[in-house]
Parts: sequence; C-alpha cells; structure tokens
Amino acid sequence: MDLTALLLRIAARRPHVLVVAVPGATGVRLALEAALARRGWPVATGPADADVLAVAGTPGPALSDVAEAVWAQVPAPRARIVIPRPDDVEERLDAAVAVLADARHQRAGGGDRAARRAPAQHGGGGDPAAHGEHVRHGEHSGPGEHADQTGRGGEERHGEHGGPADNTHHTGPGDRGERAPEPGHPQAGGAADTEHAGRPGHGGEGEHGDRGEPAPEPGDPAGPAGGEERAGAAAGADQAAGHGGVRPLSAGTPWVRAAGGGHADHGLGGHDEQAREAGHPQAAAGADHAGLAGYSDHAGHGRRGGAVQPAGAAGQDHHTEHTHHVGRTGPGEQGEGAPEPGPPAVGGSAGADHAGPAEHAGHGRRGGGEVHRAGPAEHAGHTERVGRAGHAEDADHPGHAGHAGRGGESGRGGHAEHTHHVGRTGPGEQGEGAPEPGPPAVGGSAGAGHAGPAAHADDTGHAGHLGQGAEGEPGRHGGHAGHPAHAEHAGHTGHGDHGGHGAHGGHHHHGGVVAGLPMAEPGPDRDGLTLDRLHVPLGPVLPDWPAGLVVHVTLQGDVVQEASAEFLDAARAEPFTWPSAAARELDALARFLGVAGRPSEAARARRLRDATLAGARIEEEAGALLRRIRRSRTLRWLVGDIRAGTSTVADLLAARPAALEAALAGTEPGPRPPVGELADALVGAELAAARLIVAALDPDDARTAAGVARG
Amino acid sequence: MADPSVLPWYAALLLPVLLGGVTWLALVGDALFAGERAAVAAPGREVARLLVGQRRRTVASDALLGRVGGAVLPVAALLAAAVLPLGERPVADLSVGVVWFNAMEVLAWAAVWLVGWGANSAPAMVGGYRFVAQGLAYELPHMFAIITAALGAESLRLTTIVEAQRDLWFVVVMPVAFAVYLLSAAAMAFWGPFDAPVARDVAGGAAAELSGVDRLVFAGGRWLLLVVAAAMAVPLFLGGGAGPLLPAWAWVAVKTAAVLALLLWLRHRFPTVRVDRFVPFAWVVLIPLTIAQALAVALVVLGGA
Repeated sequence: MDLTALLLRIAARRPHVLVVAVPGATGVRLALEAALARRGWPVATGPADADVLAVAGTPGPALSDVAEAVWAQVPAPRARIVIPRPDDVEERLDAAVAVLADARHQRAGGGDRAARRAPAQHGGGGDPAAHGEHVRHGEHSGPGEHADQTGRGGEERHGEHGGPADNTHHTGPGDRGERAPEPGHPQAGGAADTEHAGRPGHGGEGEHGDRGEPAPEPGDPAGPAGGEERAGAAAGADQAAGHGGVRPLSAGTPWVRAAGGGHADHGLGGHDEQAREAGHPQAAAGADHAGLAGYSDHAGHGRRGGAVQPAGAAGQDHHTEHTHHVGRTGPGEQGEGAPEPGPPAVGGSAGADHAGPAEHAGHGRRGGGEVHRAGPAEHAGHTERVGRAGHAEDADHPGHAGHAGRGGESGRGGHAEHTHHVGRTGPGEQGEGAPEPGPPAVGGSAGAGHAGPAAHADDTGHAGHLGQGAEGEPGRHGGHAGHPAHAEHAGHTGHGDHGGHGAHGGHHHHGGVVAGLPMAEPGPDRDGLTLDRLHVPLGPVLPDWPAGLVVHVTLQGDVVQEASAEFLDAARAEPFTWPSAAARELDALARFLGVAGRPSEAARARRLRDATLAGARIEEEAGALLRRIRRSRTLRWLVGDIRAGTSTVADLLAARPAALEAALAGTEPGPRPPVGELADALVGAELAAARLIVAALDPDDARTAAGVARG
Repeated sequence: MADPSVLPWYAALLLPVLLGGVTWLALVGDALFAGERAAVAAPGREVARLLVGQRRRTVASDALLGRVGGAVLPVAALLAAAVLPLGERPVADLSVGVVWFNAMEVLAWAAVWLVGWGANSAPAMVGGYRFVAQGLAYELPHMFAIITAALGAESLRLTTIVEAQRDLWFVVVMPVAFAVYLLSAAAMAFWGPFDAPVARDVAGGAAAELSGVDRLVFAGGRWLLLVVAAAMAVPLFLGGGAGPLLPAWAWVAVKTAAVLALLLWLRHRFPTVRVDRFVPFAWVVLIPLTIAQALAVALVVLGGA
C-alpha cells in the first residue's frame, strides 16, 4: 500500500491556494475566488501554507519574478498554475489537483521523504543557514535527487503553466532541468548543477524543476546557461530570504518580495523580463534591481561553471534580453576563472561559491587573475552611487552595469542593451579588483555568516546585498539598490571583491552580518529608545491585499516608521472595468473584513459580489450584511483609533456601505473621504493598523497614490 | 493500590486519545460554523495534507528553537489536561491543580514566541511578539478569574473545587470570573477574536513559515490547548460532572462541548482584536473587574466562615 499516494489523493481534495493577483486582471481573480469558494478550497496565508500557487492573470516582469520567488518557497506537494483568462479557471484548478495527487510527480518534485532528509546534510555541511535558499533547496533534495526532479519536474511544470509567458522563462530553465541530471558533475552539470554537486543541500530542486522543460539537449550549451540561471535563482532565493531581514527576521514569506524577495525573484525568475527591467529605469524598487544584479551574477557563475563559452551561448538564449548581462558577463570572467581552478572551481563558480572555500579561491583567482582592473576604487564608486541613488533607477542600473562589467570581457557584449549598466560596469571590475583573495575572506565576512567563509561567496555577496538593502538605512532604497549590486558583484567577480563589497555594505550600515544576513541597525523609536529597525516589504502576495501593491516599510517592532508604495508592472496593467459598481464595493468590503478578522462576513461579501456579477439581485442580503457591519460595535471600537491619512479608517469603513447602497440603488455614490497618499497614511501605524488602512483605502491600479514617506 | 481519587494509570495513555477525539470533533464543528462544504471531511483532508507536506526552513532560522516551540504546545496542553477531572476523577489529582494548569498553559507563551522567533522571518516574529503582548493582557485577568474559583472552594485542588459546587455552580456566584475565563481561554489558545498572533494580516503570523508536520504539530497543539481550556471551565465554574440522570463523565462531555461551541461561535461572531486595543482594555477594565469579583467572593467566604 502506498500510504503517501493515498495521503496525497486525500490532501488534493482540499488544497490551499495561494493567489498571486495580477494588476488589471481582476476578472481572473474574481473567477478564481468564486471557483475556490465553490470548491471549498481555502486561500493560503502564505507560501508555507500553500499547495497550489495560482497566478491570476498574465503577470508582468516584476510580478513574474515575485511568483517565481514565492514558488521557490512553496513546500511540496505543490502545483503551480497560471490562469490567463477567467474561462481557464476550472480547467487549471483541475490540472492542479491532478498534479497534487500524482505521487510520482510530487516525489520527483522534492516532496519525497528522502529529499526531506537532505537538510541534515546541510547541517553537516557547515552552515546551512547561510545559504538561505540553499538551505531550502537542501531540504528538498539531495543532489542525486536533483537530477530526477529536475528533469521531470521541469517538464511537468510546464504542462501546468500552460501560459505562454511562463514558457518563455521556463525554456531557459528547462535546460537546466535536463542538465541537472548529472549533479555530481562539476562542470558539465552546469553551474547550477555544480553547485548542487558541491553542496548536496543546494539543489535548487524545486526551482529547477520549474524551469525545466524544454531543455532538449542537455549537452546543449544552453544547458549550462540554464544551470546558471538556476544557480542564480537559488542565490536569489537565498537572498530573498536573507533580505528579509535582520538577524531575527528575514522573512521567507511572501511579503518579503522586495528586499529579500526581490532578489529572490529576480534570481529565480524570468530573467527575460528582468532584463527588460534592467534596462528599465523605473523598474521596480531598488531592491528588485539589486535582485537582478544578483541574478546576473549568478548567471555569470553558472556559465563559468558551465565551462566557459557554452555558457555564454546558452545564456543568451534565455536571457535573450535580460540575460545578456548575465550570460555574457558572468561567463567572461568565469570562463577565465574556470580555466585553472580546475573542475571544482569551474564547477560553477556558482557551485564553487557555495561549495567551499577552495572554490572561492577559484573565483578569486579567476577574478583576480584576469581582471583586476576595477579595483577598490571602483567599488568605491559603487558605493557612492548607492548612496546617492536613493531609489534612483540609476542606482539600480549601476548595479546591473556592474554585473556586466564583471561579465568580464565576454560579458560586455551583452551589455549593449544594458548600456546603462555598462557605464557602471565598474563593478565588473570590482570583481576583478577582487584580486586579493584575502578580501574574499572579507567578503566572507559577510559571507562569514554564511557557511564557510569561502563558501557562498556568492551568497556572501548577496548577503551583503541583503544587508545593505535591508538595512539600507536611511536611503534604504538607494542604498539597497546600489548595494545589492555590489554585493552581487562581489559574489560574481572575485569573491574577494565581494568580500570587500560585503564588507562595505555591512560596515556601512550594519555593523554586522550573521549567517549572511545583515544585522538590524538600531534607530530611535517613538518612545525615545534605540531599537532595531527592519526593512520589510509588504506584498504583493499577501492575503486580502491589493493586486501588485508593494509597500516597503521600515519597521521598528511592529510600528511603521517609513513607507513607500509602488505597484508592480504599473505601466503595464490595464485598469479593470468593473461590470458593476456594487461588485467593486463588495470586493473591497470583503478584503477589509478579511483583514479585520471576520472571515465569515468576508466570505458573505464575496458571495454577494459573485452573485451580483452573475446577475442576481442581492439587495436584501446586502442590506442584511450592511446592517450587521454597521451594528458591530466591536468593529468600530477596533478601528476607532486609526488614522488613514487625512481621514480615519472608521470614516472610510462607514463610507463603504454607503457607497454600496448607492451602487445598488443606481445612484451616484457620495464622495470618498480624501485620503492623501497611501505611504503617508501608513507612517506611525502599527502593522495591524497599517493593514487595515490599506484595506480601507483599497488602492487599486486605477486610483493609486503611491508615495514615499518617513516619520 | 489504586487511589480511589485518581483514575487508573492507563488513563494517562488514554487521555491524549480522548483529547484528540474531542479536538477532532471541535474541528468539524468549526468547519460547520464556517459553513464549509464537506465539513466532516475537512479536518481529515487537512491532516493528510500536512502529513505529506514537506517541511521547510527559512534562511538562518533557529530550527531547534522553532521546533521545540512547536512541540511544547501540544505537550503543555496534555500536561494541563492531567488535572482535568474526566467525570469525577482526574488523571492526577494534584493539590495545586489550579496552579499546575496555569503553569502549563503559560508555556504557550514561550512556545508561540519560540516558533515565531525561530523562523527568522518578519511576519513570524511579529506574530510571536503579538502573542507575548496578548499574554500580558489576558494573563492577569485570567489568573484572577481562576483564583476566584479556588477562593470560593478554599482549595487549589480541582476535585475539591468541583465538590464545593455541589449546591451552586460557581458560574452563578462569580459570573464575571467565568466570562473573563472564557475570554482568556480563547486568548491563551490564540483563538477566536484573539487570533492576532496567527492572523491573516501577517500572513499567518507565528505560523507563517511552518509547513508539513511542523504546522500540524503547531496547529494541533493550539487546538488541544483550546479544548483543554474549554474543558477546564467545567470543573472551575460549571459544577464538573454534576447533573441529573447522566453519569458524571457524560455531563463533563456535554458541558465541555457547550463551552467549546461557544468559543467556536465567538470566533465567527467577532473581528480579530488588535493587541494594542486589547491590552488597555484588559488592564483598565478586566483586571479591576476580576479583582472586584475576587474581593466579593472573598468576603462571602469569610462571612460564611
């Protein structure tokens, strides 16, 4: 009797679904929520709680990255679906059930028990924690397992995806998938593999799997590239994790997307898109960029690992747009580096990084050997940028550029697109600058936290990023963006440099790095005490949260000290036209009730929303719901002390039923209370209150007033 | 040499099974309250889901702390239940039963905080700290409430407290203490309106990073805690197994089910209480109320003596 298969089948009857809502694709979200309610499937609170990751709509580049990062955090058994159109909902959900109940697939995908044991290995390895994602991966699977998973997983996933967009990404990855097979292999394996090889833990199983797919000929150069990406992904993931936090918190959760998450995302994600972004000035937050950068680096590694040129080639495929940076850049250096280090080093710089000191050394050499150009000075340069950057795109780009630079000789070609980057290329040099392995240690410092010093140079770099990013400190954005870049660079380049970078980051802001994650930096709190501050992104994957919204907050305890809001892929989203104003109000009301902790009433509001969208008359029932809400003294008491910009949550809450009644009566709703900017409204609020404020304001892509505020 | 005031030794082994069964029923009841489809099957599916679920770790997490925290929850609940009279007799009839119960239940503070801290994740840590703050709010009123019951019986031994209610249930004598006890029972299991530590607004709070068996243990421990806290209201305020016709154990079961149902209903009736609203309310309103209640009972007891 196959108990696991039986349990999988039972569990698949009621999976928890994590919804990634795409701005503008509200119709898909509505259809999905209605379908989930019909099936009695709970909506997951976060990736740890999720079995199915459902992307409602066709995500833009930034959100794709987020989805990728979140996916990397979803434990097996799991399934991912992309729902481009409302009509696809049922079919995709059924497909998800099939995947969840498929024991063979889930075992391959990392759900296997053996896989779970992997973590132990990690531990042995030295310091799992450092790696963030690695760790995670580790858990998933041992290296050997990887192979399987990768291969299969990838393919299957594709199936799931279905969405064209996804495919794109995957394609690249797919290669990896195939490649994965020979984890043991240093070089061949492709960077990604290599890494895995080195560290059992690493295996980016899950991820691999995802991407996997097409990767027709493993032998193919592309393969390596894919590997790289993964590596990147992994790294990214790590970062993500790392970012989140300060020692205490890093946040593997959804919200983390930006700082940590951001990285992760990028890393994982669709490089393609990112690439674009990279070129993109505005791109997401600095953090994101950082992420990208990181990514790039990784990529670079991968290639290296992949053994020189092929990597480059491969890289291009995927990367196409984005990749350029990555692929080329990295490769160049790597290529060089690779030469001597021999397999291990080659093993993928990426791998190398992770693997062990030795490898680092390898990196160091490479970097050092060939490229010294950059030199500290450049770094310095970076730093500055960072500093200034603030959010500036420049900052971000620079980061990228940096990558390019590193890319080393080869890399640059790629840069063309990135042009910006190129300018900044400097970083690349840094990498080289790294010459002195000694630094690596430094980098290591950052890294230190990580496992072995050497190990994770990449990670280290990341760590640095994170650190910086996370703590960014005042200029948080700016800082982040820039730093991340550095960090990554560091990683890529010579590790040594990295070290340097890491050091920078760390030193500047934090003062310390633990396990590759920056320590929280202290700051004055509202009571005049000096307490740790955390930089945490809220959204975009949070329960009852506006689609695509990310609010970067600086938290002290759970008090928001600074906030800045943005909508991912804002330029891309077409505003959704609600067929019924009443449905719009009910949807917002349901979200508010969900955040306020009244799930029953929230479900009721959703039911009414779906009913009115289906053309039913709901006046009576809606009236009853509104009466209950208005009568609820507890609710009024609970929100009574929360200001929301120039209004209050209580006023906004009171305005909602009025607007709904007006919509039902077909009259013009009264004016909404003026609220000012979202970010302003959040400063000074406690986290729970901040959630209520966002839910009460219910910004959507059409009427958003994002902004930056600090208190 | 069986002590007639205590259940035989194997009852200690049956206790977890019994509690597990009651918890299962409570889960089904909650699913019914929530209007879920297939409410009877929902808990089983959820357990299967978590049993096959992969465990996960976050970066630089303190896995040991986190897992110890998760394991403490169900263990504390079971230990607290040891002094619970199942019918007329408990598994362990401690002379300081009330204090024992209180001590075990306070372990939940550490447990939830450890789980939240161990994950090295912002939402989890926020959730963990929310529970500590919530503990500061509910614990004092809670202690005054249960001490009032002990005061009324002039004993900390639960069987004696039950005995003292032969004529009149304490819920009649000390209604405020009973009401506060119910609130704090929900709060100690971070249940009902007091679920801020694991609320959706922080992506699951302390449990945000838990998956697979870790989540099962944590959630199971929480449910056990809720069941035990509800069951403890029976000997403290509802006369224990006293009642006509039915045997004592049946009355305990019926009364426990009633209290549980009330707690389940509360959750669906009230919004999540923000901790920063609850703390002032607890200190300004609940503590004075419970002290006044204890004082009144003390005067009655003294007068009676």
